[in-house]
Amino acid sequence: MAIKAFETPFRKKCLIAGVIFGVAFPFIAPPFILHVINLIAIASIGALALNLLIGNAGLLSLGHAGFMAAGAFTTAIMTVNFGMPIWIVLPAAILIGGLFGFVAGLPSYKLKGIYLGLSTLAVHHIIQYGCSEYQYYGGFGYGIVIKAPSIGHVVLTNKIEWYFFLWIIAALVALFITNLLRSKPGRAWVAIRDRDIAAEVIGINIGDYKIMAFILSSGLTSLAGSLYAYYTAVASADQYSFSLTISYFAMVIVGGVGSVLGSFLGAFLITVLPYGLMYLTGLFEVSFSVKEYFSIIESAIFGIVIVLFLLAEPMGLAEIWRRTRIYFELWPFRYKPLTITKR
Amino acid sequence: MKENDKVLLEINKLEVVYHHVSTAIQGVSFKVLEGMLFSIIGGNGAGKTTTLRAISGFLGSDNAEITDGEVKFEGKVLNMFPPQKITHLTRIVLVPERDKVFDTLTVEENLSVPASQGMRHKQFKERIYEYFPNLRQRKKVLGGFLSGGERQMLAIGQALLCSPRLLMVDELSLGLSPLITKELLDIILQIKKDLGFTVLLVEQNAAAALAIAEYAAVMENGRIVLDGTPEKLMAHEDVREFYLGMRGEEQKSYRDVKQYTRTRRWWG
Repeated sequence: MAIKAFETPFRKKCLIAGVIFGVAFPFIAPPFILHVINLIAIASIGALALNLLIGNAGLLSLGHAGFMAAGAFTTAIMTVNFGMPIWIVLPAAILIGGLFGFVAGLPSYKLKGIYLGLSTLAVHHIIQYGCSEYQYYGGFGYGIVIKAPSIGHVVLTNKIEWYFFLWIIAALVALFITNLLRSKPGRAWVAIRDRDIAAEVIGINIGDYKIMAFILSSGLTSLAGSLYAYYTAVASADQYSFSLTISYFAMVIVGGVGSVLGSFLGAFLITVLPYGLMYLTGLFEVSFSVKEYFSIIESAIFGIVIVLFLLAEPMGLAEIWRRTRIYFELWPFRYKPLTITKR
Repeated sequence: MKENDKVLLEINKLEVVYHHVSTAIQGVSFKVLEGMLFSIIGGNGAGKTTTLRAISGFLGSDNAEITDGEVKFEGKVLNMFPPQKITHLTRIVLVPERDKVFDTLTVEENLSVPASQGMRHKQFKERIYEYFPNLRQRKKVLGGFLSGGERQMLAIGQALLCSPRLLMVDELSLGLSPLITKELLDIILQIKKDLGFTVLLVEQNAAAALAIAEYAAVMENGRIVLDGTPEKLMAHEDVREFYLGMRGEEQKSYRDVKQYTRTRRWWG
């Protein structure tokens, strides 16, 4: 994709304009919007990781929030107890997440589909229980406060600094995943997802590749959890409940299963949705009772959005984007011409 | 069978049971010599596919198991090895009956999935495109959009990229027109001549299978009832009647004849 971006002059111009806008954006945007954009970056990393697992490798995992909690609490323990710098903590979080992913992925040797989902759900509850116990007995009250990290001499306190840091990491993760999907493991995952027997016939070790997908996905998820803890400066076990897993699932479904671009689009929509609703309620001056039930309304709208996407566009926003692009590429024709093949 | 030929695959009194209850094949024994084209013919439910699955280790996923006998490859017993291990260790490669290409990968990516070996892999891929020019034209097309014949070609190409020593093809003619079947069989023969591996062909289309085989076996009801050179089989009265549909003036369909008459004729 990276090379495709330079294919035509129009694309080149778009890319340059995009980069300039991306760099200038934090300086012109109001701080609250910048905050939301930063949250989208973190959500994108998590969505990319989950999409790798369920979209590309075709494995169901309900333990996503657990892996995020693992990353967040690794961060908390390492910074608060040992005072480690961020460039040690982030790799450590990836490693710890990968380790939990390995454990969660072990049942995938035998189990498939919903059964695998249940076993990963167990891992989620174990991790969350461990974290809340640590938080409770460590006497941290509502959460462990994490100091702002510093890279070299720059202390990441400002939203603008965070913007660049988070989006660079998100871009690196996206680049890593796109390249991975075009290499041997990526094809092997798709092969396993499509036809596991045919994959086995041509000598692909199904079990090992499944475990690999689990390790990578949960490692990256843990990275997202660690970044979230750093960014919000607090790690609390309550944040990583099962509903977080559901919202990440929503990102993948709404964005587009198995699509890197879709992960970003889904992360954008699902992260913005509650803030957009809040903005709307503020705009129309709704009565107090509506505000009281805001969280319930929010989850209802969440559900409606997911169901609508499953019904109308199961391949998500990425598919809509793709179709729009093809429409303009083929215009004024509607279909690609039939390719003539000789027999 | 000549004395100095090397036995590549030996099946010894194989018995396979599905779900711990129903016996699919019983007492199947045959030998495949190196470099030979061996075909197994037989009707539906005769146990042909089960035999192939037993050889390539796919019984576990179907909840079946080998209860008796053994599968020997060059003298090594392979009973119940996991499939990818069999592919790696022995280079026995199966082209399955259905579900063989990956729908969401393009033809080229499909061919990149098997174990690759750098430059050699690239050259090999080129060669496969030479054998199947159709695939070269459809390089960028998703596997799910291919026609039946092209899928079969792609599956054979994938199998070839595993550098097989024994290629097992399950129902090559499934859903293909007789012309394409013949074309594909000719290509397989050509590749076999060029690369020098052994082929085990399982077919319902007896005429096509016997035409190219060097040795053949007829399976029925989970047993091998007849075996011999294709000439011998084609001369056999029952094979002519039931598999080739040639019986002079009064042609009988397969269904018209009750099975037990045949069984009695063969088993006495």
